[in-house]
Amino acid sequence: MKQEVVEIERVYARYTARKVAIILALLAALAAVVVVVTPLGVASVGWGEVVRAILSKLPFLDVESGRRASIIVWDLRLPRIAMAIVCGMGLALSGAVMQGVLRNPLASPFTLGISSAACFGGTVAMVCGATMAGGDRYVVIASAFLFGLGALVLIYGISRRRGATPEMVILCGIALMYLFLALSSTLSVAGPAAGASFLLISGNLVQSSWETMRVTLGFLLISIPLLLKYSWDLNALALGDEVALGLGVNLRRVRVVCLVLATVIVSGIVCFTGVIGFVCLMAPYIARMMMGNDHRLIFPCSALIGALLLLGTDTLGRTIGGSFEIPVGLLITLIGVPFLIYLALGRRSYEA
Amino acid sequence: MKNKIRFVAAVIVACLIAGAILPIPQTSAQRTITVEDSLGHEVELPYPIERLVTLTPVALEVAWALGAENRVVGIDQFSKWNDEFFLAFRDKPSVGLPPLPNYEKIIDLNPQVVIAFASPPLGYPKLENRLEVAGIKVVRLNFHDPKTYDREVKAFGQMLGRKKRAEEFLNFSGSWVNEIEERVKNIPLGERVRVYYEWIEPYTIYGKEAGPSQLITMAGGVDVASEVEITSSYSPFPFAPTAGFFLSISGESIVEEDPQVILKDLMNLLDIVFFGRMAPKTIGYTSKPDIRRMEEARDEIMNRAGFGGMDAVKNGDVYIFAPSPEFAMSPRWPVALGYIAKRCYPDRFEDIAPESFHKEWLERWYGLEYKGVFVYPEE
Repeated sequence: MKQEVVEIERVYARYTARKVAIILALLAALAAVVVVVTPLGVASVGWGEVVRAILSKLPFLDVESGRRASIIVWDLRLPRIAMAIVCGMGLALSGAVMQGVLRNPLASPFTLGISSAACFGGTVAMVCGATMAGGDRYVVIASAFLFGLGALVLIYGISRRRGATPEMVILCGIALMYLFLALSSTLSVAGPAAGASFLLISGNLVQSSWETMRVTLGFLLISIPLLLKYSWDLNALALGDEVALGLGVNLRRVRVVCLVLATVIVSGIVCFTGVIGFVCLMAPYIARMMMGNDHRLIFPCSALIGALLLLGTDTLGRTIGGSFEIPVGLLITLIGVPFLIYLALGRRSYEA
Repeated sequence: MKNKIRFVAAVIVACLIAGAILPIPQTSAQRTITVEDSLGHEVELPYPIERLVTLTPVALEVAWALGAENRVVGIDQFSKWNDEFFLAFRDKPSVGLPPLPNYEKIIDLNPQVVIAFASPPLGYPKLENRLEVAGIKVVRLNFHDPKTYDREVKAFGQMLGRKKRAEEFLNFSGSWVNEIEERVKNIPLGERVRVYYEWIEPYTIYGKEAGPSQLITMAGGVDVASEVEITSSYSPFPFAPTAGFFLSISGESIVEEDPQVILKDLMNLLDIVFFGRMAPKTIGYTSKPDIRRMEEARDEIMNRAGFGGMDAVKNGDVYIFAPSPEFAMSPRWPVALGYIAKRCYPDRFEDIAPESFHKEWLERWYGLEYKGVFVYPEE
């Protein structure tokens, strides 16, 4: 008996080690991608210049760099890369949370209409005169959060109905998504902030700066410890309500706190980037395939995959067409739609 | 001795004369100029501007007219695609599409100033903020609005140190515009020709603040759309909704207004999306003019439901114009004005030849040979 337990523990340790190795590998891959994409861009700034520009701002190093290269690298490229990583992580994480809580592999802030509701909330605030500059931006984000929360309550209510199937929930979510996207475009046509708010709809990272990155990162950092704390409970939840209840999980609190945190993260992103879909759907799904059902591993894994996905796609978008930039929201949709169809068709196997 | 004194005096006099005639070279880096753009921003710029990026085809055209083509270091993608007209700028790098300019490319080109639209607010998201770090100034000038045209061209001329040329250019276009306005100023309101200027889709129009509506008024006509209740703002570009600039109206109200002349902007969304041109390459400034698409557009209006009883349709006064961004809303709007006036009042403008004026414009200010098709039917 004891030997059996030791054997099981050994197998589990090996299993965990493998998963941790995958996460470390993803982390290394992300670092490698950052190194590779930083010198990429339409400006004629070579590798050497990029390296010099980066080193020139680091303390204790006496490296000189041209002003132009320094601006391009430090004010445009690096903040955008950082923003892609932070947003990719945030979106993927919020998707992982929603999939875990609702036990629905098609769930994500995008497919549930929460992103577009938040986007609409942000647009409402902007049309009312708030801007994304200074402290005003928190008004916009709060408005985005409130509208996102509204959509969330609606979706949560639907999903708690007796006999609600996962597909039904997603269908309602997609209906909400279209409703709020249509409302956002109507508002931005009518409003005085037309120029500023149209960007929210198209989904891109063009406006990234260190400041926007810091704000988004702030929301993410506040949410991560709490989410990690609840990841145990989400694991129990994955086994069914009865099991979770039996294990002493406060179902209601876990669900509400996790979903609200996911909405906070999404609101902090949407106000700066607009609705970037599919990252929040694909990354957690892939993470779940790699990590099984352990949310302690799914969260970091899907965050890393999300960062890789968004950074890779955005780099493609900003380099592939020369000066003619392709918004990352559009590119990710091109990848995401086939994925969603594949998911929808292959759902049976997932359930099995 | 006397000769020596004479020689020295002559040298001194020669030096004084030379000093008076020849400009004293100044270090241009230290000189600045402040201009007010069409958003009311006061922008301080180095003087004269030696390196600029134009984010709109119209700004590029005016820079060209002012003889500053060699100072343009980057152009927008629409100008790049219109390579037959902007042949002289074929080798200039593109900085992307106006709604989503590539900041990195702009900074890389190191211009002193970027010229962008003040309206329509086609995005240019936070252009000023993003370029500020690199010390690049943004000046917003439309060049498509007759109300602000003179002031904008003058301001541009000042920035470029081409004040005199800007004045000559404005005199050239202004005398033509004055001539037209002079001939129609005494027409009583009740006798003015009612004109309907249609944009890209049926029943879409420019607002009355935009150029085409003003051109109709300047040509002695009445813009019927400006009297109709506006049903909604319209934009065919989901990424660039622009309030109040593009509008849609109900077809019924146009039928009710019964215009005597209909003008239609030949623009096509598919051409814009797939070829980056406002219309097929065979329309506008082109060496391969082909009027088929213009004929189709005209036939559509002539046969549009409810239009049969209209004066304009009955008399065949339906004219298709080259796309407005390259014509009625370009810096060459005076040419379009000439055509509108002539179509509204053929008798009053019998001796006026917009085509010759256009030809002279292209040759004199751009060094271009006149070719292409801008209005259909020609007469």
